[in-house]
This record gives sequence, structure tokens and C-alpha cells, in this order.
Amino acid sequence: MRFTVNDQVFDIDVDPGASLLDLLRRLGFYGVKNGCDNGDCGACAVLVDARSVTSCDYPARAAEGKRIVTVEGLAPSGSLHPLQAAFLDTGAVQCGFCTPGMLISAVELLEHNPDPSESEVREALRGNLCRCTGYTKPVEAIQLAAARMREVDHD
Amino acid sequence: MITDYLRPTSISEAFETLTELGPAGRLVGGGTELAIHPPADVSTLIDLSAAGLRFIEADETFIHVGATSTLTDMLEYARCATSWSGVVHTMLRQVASPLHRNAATIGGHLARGRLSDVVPTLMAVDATVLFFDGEHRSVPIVDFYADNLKRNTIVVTGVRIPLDDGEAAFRKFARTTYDLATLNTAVGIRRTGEEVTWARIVVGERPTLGMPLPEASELLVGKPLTSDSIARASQVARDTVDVRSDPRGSAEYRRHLAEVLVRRCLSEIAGEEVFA
Repeated sequence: MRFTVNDQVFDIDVDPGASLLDLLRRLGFYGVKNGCDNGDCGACAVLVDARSVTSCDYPARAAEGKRIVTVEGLAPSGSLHPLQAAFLDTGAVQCGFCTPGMLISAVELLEHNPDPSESEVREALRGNLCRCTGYTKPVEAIQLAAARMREVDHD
Repeated sequence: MITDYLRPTSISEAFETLTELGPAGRLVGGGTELAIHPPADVSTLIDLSAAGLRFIEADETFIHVGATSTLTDMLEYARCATSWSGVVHTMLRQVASPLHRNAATIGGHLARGRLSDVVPTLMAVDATVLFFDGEHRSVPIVDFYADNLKRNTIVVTGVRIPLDDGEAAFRKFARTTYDLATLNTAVGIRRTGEEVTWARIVVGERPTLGMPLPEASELLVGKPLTSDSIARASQVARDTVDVRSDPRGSAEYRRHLAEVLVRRCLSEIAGEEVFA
């Protein structure tokens, strides 16, 4: 089966019963976290054709022909994505396990809504559970990144 | 154990494959359920994503939603936010999270039926389920579940929502915003002038499949929506709903919720100020 991950093309045999999470981690994309393996926590979120999904309950074979982006794909040249920079600047990361999933959810949000309100950010993060810092700092970080990205767009 | 994953390119091919495989085959929409909980006797997943069923369009009388449209596709479709008081949109925003709505399909949802905010709402807006069993068929969604057609060998191909002047409301009560509902209610009515000409009160997550309550609904018909008729219908909903206990709530608590949430739905439609 053929698909791309972070613009890298793969053409490999894939177990018909595997989840996309299993597949991606076997390929070395360890930024995709296995939190609950039950579709609950959002730590395994990736973009499939620019839409965020939990990869643990996404059949790997359903990704045939799709374009997948993992958290590794947010900073391809090594320079951080504005969302990643804002998470650092705001202190939105504690243990970091939920962070890749939150970043992926936030990427999709800002793609559709460059100036989200706090409640819109919270709604976008519904499926991302954090067990240490809570949500205040990530929400601030996403709004900060949105503001910075709007400025860049204006320049 | 899953040993094969097929991707038929037409509805009839999917149906033939399903028929040949019998219980060893299972249709896949978004796979959000089957990827985690594949039934032990299923060995082949039949992915419908190449069967041409991802579309939403409207004509003068219906919104037609193809089975492999995602819940997000429906959420973003403008007519779902305007027809029937926008209830489909309002409800979908409360379903799981964007991460699931981006993958889960309406067809997969209808084929499962249980654990759903969607099914009670589609019942309340008088929707029709479309399926293929060798021929293309359509059945009102209430009958689809009453006759347990989802147990037959069929391919759910979509759903259509009538575009008329119907009004509707939806409420759910859950332990957290992200949990499955402890109980949900959806109400649809049609009015001519002030007079209610059609009503359907549905209670879901009882904790089983959505259940229309004809006795409570009939009470509303033939008169305007008033505080009295709302209170009476809510009480009858409480008294006639079939509820069970499970870890999310007791039967007694669910019965109480049914009355409160039906009242809030009806009050919202009547334009009365309601709490949550």
C-alpha cells in the first residue's frame, strides 16, 4: 500500500488488522503517542489529508493513498512551527505526552479559524486529554500562536 | 483476527462481497469502532471509502447524505445548520471530538445505532435511511431500527433529511462534555400557524437505542405549544420511556432526566427561556 508521511512516500505491505498508530510507530514516527489505544485520549492524533484523527482507532489500511502528517512533520527544517514555539514560550508542556496530539488538533483549528476564541480553542481540544498541566496554558499557547501567525500573514 | 482488508469500488460489489463472506465480513465506514473492537468472528474488513458514497447535497425537498460522509462533513454542511432549527449541527458539535468526527462516518454510525446522539436526532427530524440489499431501498429511520434491519445483510448507503419547516431541539446529559450521553433527547415538530401538526419526541441512551415516544408526542398535536402542553408531554415522556440502569446512571435517574430534557427541548422550540 502506498501513502505518504510528512511528504515521505511509502510503498509497503501493511497488516490488514493494524491501526494507523501501530503502523506509524513501526515506521519510526515516535512523536505519535500511544496513550490509551482506545480512542479516548488524543495523544495519537495525526493529520490525514489535513484532518486530525486519532490514529489508534483508524485502520492503517484506510490510509491508502492518503497524506499523513505527524508532529515530526510540523518542523521539517528543524525550525519550530509557531504552535510549538508558543507551547514552549507559554509553558504549556509538562510531561509532554499529550503535546503532539494537542499540536495536531491546533494545526487543524488554525487552518480553519485563524483567530479562535478561548471557547473555540477548548472545543477543538475536546478530544485531547492532559493529565498534568491542565488546559489553561495550552489554550493560551494556541491563541498566542494564532496571533503570531496572523501577524506574519499581514507582513 | 483481521486477515484481509478489501476496498470495493461500488455498492453492489460491497454487497456481493458481504453476502459471500457472511459473518466473517464486516463493512467499514471510518473504522473508529472496528479498528479497536473487531468482533472475534470477523476476518475481513470491507472498506466503503471507494464506493462513491462521500457526498452531501440538497434538492428542494431533502438533504441527501452519502454513507461515507464524515460527521465533520455534515457539521460543515450549511443546510444542516439551518434546517430543523439547525439541530443536526448543534447535536454534532456535542458528539465526541473533532478527532473522531473527522473519521467516523454517518453510515457506520447508522449501522451501529447504539451509543449515539445522532440517531435520536435523525429520528426527530423524520429522516429516512437508504440501504442496498440487492436493490436500493429507503425506510423511515424509526422503522429501520424498530424492524432491526441493521441486523440484515445490507449496505447502508446514506440518509436523507426532509427540508420543510420543521423545528427541532436536542439535549444531552453526560458526566463530562466528552463522554457518551447518560441520556439524550431530541424533539421535532411541524406547525401550521401556531398549531402543532406533527411531533416526535425521542429519548436515546436509555442506555439502549433511541426510542420514539408516541404517547407523549401525540399530546402535542392539534394545539399550540404552551407551557401546559410542554409540561404534560414531558411528564408522559418520563412515565412511558423504557430505561435501564448501567454504570452511567440508574434507571430512576434516567427517567428524571428524560422529563427535564424533553421539557427543555420543547421550551426551546416554543421560544421560552430555558436553562442549558
